[in-house]
Amino acid sequence: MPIQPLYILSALLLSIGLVIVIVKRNAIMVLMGIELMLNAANINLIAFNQKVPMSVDGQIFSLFVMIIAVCETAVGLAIILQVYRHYQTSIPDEVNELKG
Amino acid sequence: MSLLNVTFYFFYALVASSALALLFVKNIFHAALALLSCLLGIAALFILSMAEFAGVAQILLYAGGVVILLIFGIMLTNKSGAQPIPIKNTGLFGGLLVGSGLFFLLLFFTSKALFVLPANTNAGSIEKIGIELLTDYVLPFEITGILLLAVLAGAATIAGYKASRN
Repeated sequence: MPIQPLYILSALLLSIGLVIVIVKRNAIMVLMGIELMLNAANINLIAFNQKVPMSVDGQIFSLFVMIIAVCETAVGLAIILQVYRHYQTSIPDEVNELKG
Repeated sequence: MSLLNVTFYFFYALVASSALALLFVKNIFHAALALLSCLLGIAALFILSMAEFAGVAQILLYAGGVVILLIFGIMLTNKSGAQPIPIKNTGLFGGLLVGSGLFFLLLFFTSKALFVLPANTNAGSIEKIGIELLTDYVLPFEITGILLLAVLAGAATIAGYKASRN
């Protein structure tokens, strides 16, 4: 498979993930944007690994990225649940107790 | 144009369109479904790129783990029962400016870059991944186990209900 379309797709997913993280007013949506950005990195790792013979370094790195992403989602959702219990909202802008 | 290329560009279009749908969709549950189709399309692209193990791990970890967790999170933080949660945007102009700026910058630099790569391709087999994981990458592999244990304990502790709080 050609790799140039893959890294264009990766750039697109990274930009969309960044826009979601900046723009959306919902904590779970922000987590989804972070997942999209991590997947963009994974696509690059797999695409370049495909062209290097006798090596699976890219695939192993993408596995570690996936594991870290799962851990990050679990802890992030636990924090969002606790914030929701305490403030009755999952919108980051409304959690402003420390705002001067 | 071979069947392989048609399949590749089908999943390519699926991933790109569901990522765009994730940006513009209004209902957060539909956003989770768009993320699911995006992740499954990426798994198909991995398999087409000769990385079968990464594709299967993508389906197991993301489609089976992360999206289910996100849907649980959506349901547990839903204030009004059956009503869908609308997603509001803030700073739309600045966000779109930063995102499109990053995208065109990346396009510009990757189109100018010269990636010196060998021409022949060789599929990395699952057997080779297993050998590499237990020889060259054994330290990060074991540290991953410790990390997973810490995350399990930490997430359960953070999300656990403390009755004495209120």
